[in-house]
Amino acid sequence: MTTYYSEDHEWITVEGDTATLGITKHAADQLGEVVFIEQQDSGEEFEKGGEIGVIESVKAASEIYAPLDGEITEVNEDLADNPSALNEDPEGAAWIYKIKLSDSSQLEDLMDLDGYKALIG
Amino acid sequence: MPYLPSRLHGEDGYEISIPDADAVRITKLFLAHDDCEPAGLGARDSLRLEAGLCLYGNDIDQSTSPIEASLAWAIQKRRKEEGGFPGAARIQKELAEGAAKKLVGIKPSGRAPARQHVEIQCAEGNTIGEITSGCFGPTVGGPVAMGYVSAGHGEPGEQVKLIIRGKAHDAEIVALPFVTQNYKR
Repeated sequence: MTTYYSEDHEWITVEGDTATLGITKHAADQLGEVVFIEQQDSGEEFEKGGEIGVIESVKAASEIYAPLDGEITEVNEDLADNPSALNEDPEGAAWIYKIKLSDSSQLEDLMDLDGYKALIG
Repeated sequence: MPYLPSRLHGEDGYEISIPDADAVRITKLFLAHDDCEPAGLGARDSLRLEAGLCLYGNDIDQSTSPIEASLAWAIQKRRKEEGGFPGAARIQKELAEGAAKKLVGIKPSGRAPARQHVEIQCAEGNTIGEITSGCFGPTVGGPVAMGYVSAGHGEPGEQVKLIIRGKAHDAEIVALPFVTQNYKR
């Protein structure tokens, strides 16, 4: 089980060809109090860079961009009723999607924890 | 130090003028006090919107009239009757015949905040206006908004649709303010 990070402040934990995706603690802190999340449905396919949801905080609306190609296999439905979980535990209970990767070689374009820490300074 | 009592955001407050050179030092002195917290534009915006107050540039501008913006209370009775001020012809006409659109409070039913420029549709799906201000209202505990709807719409209780990122969300026209003002008069 390995965790990768994107420049758009998402994390992806990979097990085989399935993965769990969420936003980083750093992203959640920058957004401020999250009040709403719009998620796509299970079964939706997406391409790297495509919009796969929107998170709204008290301050602004921010799109979630796909860090690689894949398909949504499961949606964390709890977030709709409890969006503040994204502030409390963004890298744990408040995962956003389970996804099936189309091309696991795309993981090589993402960062490891040290790389991500360097990015956010 | 000059200061003025202010209800700019629908709550008690003071506006303070500080010489440029001392602004940072005096602000830090305020923030050192236990009861004093910083509040930015976002906090001020949600406060005034919950109080049902217009923001110039969002809800009113050079194209809107005070009658459309439900600000007729701000015009003296004598002025309304006699006119004789810039824009009097339009304002007196709208007072007599009604305005083409009016500013109303809008309460989204779900959690999705409806922000500026979101389209408002009537229950039948026709476009009747646009959101001019919208945010999450912390005191209300949900999204709040205001916007203009065309004549014939806008009675409190009317059900409308808000088109947010291409999806229709249920909302209701409500009387303003969202939060009753509780400042001292």
